[in-house]
Amino acid sequence: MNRKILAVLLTAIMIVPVFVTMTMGDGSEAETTVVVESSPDFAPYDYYYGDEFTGIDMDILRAIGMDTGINITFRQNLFDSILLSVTQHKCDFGASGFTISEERKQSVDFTEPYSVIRQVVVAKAGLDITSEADVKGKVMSVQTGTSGADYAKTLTSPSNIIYQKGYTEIVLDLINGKAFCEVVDDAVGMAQVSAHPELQVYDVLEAEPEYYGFIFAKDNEALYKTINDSLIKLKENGTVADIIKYYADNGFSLDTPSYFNRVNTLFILTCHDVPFSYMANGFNAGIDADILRAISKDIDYKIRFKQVDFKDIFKELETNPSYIGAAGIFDTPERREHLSFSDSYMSDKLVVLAPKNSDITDISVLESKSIAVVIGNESDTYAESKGYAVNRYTENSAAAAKVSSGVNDCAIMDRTMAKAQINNHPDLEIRDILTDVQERPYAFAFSPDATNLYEIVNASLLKLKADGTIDDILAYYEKNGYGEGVPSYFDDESEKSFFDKLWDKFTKDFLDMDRYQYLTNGLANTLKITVMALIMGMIIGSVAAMVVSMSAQTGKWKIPAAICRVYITVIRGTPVMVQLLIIYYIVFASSDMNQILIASIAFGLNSGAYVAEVVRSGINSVPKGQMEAARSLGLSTGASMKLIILPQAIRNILPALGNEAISLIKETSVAGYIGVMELTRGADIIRGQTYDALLPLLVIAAVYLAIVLILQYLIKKMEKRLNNAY
Amino acid sequence: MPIENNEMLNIRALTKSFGDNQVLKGIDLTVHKGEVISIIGPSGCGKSTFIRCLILLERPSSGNVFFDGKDILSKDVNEDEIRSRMGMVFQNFNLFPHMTAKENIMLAPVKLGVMNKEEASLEADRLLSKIGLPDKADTYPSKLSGGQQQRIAIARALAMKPEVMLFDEPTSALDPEKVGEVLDLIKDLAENNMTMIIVTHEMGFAREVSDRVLFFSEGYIEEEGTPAEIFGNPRSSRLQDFLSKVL
Repeated sequence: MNRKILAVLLTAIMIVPVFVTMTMGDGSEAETTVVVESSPDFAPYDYYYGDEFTGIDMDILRAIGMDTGINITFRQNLFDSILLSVTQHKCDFGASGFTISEERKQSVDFTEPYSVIRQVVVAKAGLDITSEADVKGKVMSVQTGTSGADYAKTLTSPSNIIYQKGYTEIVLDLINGKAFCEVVDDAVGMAQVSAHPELQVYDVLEAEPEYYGFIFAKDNEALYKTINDSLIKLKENGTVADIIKYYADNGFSLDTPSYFNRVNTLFILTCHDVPFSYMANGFNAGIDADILRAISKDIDYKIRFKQVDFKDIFKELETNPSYIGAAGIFDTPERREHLSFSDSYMSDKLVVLAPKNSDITDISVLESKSIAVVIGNESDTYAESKGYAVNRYTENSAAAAKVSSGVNDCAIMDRTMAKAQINNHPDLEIRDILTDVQERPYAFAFSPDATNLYEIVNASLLKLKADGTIDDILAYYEKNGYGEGVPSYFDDESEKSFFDKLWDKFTKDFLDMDRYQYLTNGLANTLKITVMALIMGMIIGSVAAMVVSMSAQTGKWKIPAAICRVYITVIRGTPVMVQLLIIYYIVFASSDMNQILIASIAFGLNSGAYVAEVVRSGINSVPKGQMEAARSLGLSTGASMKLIILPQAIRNILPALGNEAISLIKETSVAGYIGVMELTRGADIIRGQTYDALLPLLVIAAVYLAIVLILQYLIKKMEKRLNNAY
Repeated sequence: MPIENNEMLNIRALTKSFGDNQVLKGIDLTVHKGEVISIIGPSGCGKSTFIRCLILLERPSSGNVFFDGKDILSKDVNEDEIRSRMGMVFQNFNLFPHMTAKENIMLAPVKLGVMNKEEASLEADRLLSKIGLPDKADTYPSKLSGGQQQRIAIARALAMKPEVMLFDEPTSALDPEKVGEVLDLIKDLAENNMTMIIVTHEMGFAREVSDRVLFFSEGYIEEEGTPAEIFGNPRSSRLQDFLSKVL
């Protein structure tokens, strides 16, 4: 290789990034397609449903896209990075629940607000948090750069605030007890709780309400006006409100598809009422919950439960015909004046539970008997009205036990309850002798306007009655004694082994909605970046090392050698993440070049410096006489280097080069900071959706390890081949 | 310009310093075609530096070196071309460890376009036969003895058909029983009229093979003459002293 070619090559490597920047330009084709950046761990505003980017932000933008004819494409990035991305024109605008603030207005323009939010506290469920004072001074976990983080500063000391880069980490802090609570936007908190029943939203903060807007670079006026005008229009015509209501109806659950891709859903209004509706193992359980769940499966609807007070069920039904009321509701003529009822799925009636040999065969003898009832129950009211002598117990089971042991002569309770008690007390039997009580039918309540919904649900109910499904459910609860802790008929969690549960998590993390694709796509990008960076690093590193070494030997090429030394020193003296951010946001600031390519260049430049040092030490490890012998034969310095020195140097440095490749693969995990979906970011996104930290991290750790092991094997093999050669 | 018909090298007032240390203090020497010159002298006297200056592995500090009538120290000279016309044999052989014996020999002629691969291969075979190692063609240097390595190093230098051969203590790194085979080969070259400058400690060999012997001392040529003059009738006290120690 002659000197000129080397010089040209060196110059080319220094200039390529600049040249590429210049030629890539600003991309004037961005007239019809705009790129919006968002952080997908910000449910319900921004998240992935399967591989679809969705949420309130995304759906409002979809609506704007339809309204304006602009093709809006979504790109994920870290929340922290989006603001910079917008001001540096790496994307056209940002939408990730940005609170409109005076401070932010200094650097970006905000659209009209599209959503009002308040700060709330999220902490473990069941804590005694009733006012802001209850969380003051506690350890808080917040997301960097959010208004929650700002408000947390007013509540506790700086050393008590844990700053996290995403909500996944915050939820884990709460669950693992590393933080007492989180300060967060209300809807986001509800979304978190929807995925984590062990957490609870405490609406106790006195923070001012805030408003979300989309953010634009200051000089992006034309696009700003178009989007903002459309947003105002959509607010006025109610579209924005519809979208937000849609997510609210779905409980801000992560399991909600886009508004524009919505699926049929049964929305259930319910309240705590054992055995009809209650929570068990974080799951809606009870007779009503399970029958409706069976119906939703039958008609292929999703099902959502919304907990309200019993009295509010009827109020909400009047205003919202898309709901179904279900909480052990009696179908009564009075209620039918305002509501419609499904067919009854079960009915009940007060009966007498007495020993088999008992003489209680007629209602008239009860006056002389000692009767067990449950405090505050229907039976208590009835016995009271008849003036019977009663003992009051807190549970049906206690009442039955007293009858069985002879303390009381008999008990009065609902037929369903009595049947359950007989399971434990075979010496008792039911005597249906209360002639003055009514049979009471249970049914689901509908708005009278919801005729379509009513027909669909009622038809399915009749079908499930006919095929025995409902009998199965009822028998299941009867068998289990109608207790509060009885898990749902459809909840097989509690019977599962550790491995079954692990498999379920695995399914949720990787198989559901093809989530494994985040890892496979991420892996592909990680490998792409690594391979490109490795090749670039080897070339740059070898050239730089040769320039430095030959300059040291011949005293020539002083300026290129100085450039190389500065390059090596600067790169080795600064963190790779800082280099990556500088290259992305400053060097390639005005380029819309592919992020994977930019990441490859950044890691290639980084790796080149390390490779240069390795190669230089390899060159130095070759005895001086080798160069002299080659030169004495008439070979040029370059040719001697290439034919004699480098081949020997490479054998000496192969293990060190292998190490460089291995650390490079692992270093690419920070590419997520410029929005590249690599392996680690893929796992982040899965964690953002499933809030399961363990499996995705273990799996990517295993993947990295596997790649490294394969690489080590290949390097060993190469070393062996080189060593065997001579 | 001093040109004689059979003059190969004409060295005038050659000096070489490493920093403050002047190693060569003004060497004048004319080497004729076919002449064999031995350089003897104590360690550190500048013998090796001198022949390294001739093939430009060191850059002389001042003076002139005319090679075939051309001053090789002038700026417009292609150093690589000059080197390709000289052969150098090193104390430590410096064979290329990652190439077989034959590849070592073929490398320069092929890479410098002097021969094509077929020609170089035939030439390498011929040289291997000549040095008595025809069966070592495909052997890597690490599997060869020192004597064998040095013979191949000589063959490697010869493959470029050099006009002059420079030997820098070619037997110093060898086991005593391997010295003979290398010296025999150099003798053989001398008989075939190869122009050679040999830095050596083998006094018997120098006496036998040389047309002229130079005694270097402290950067000068202290004494110069035929082997008979140098070894039979040393004039300077330094040479007498040196010979009394090494003989």
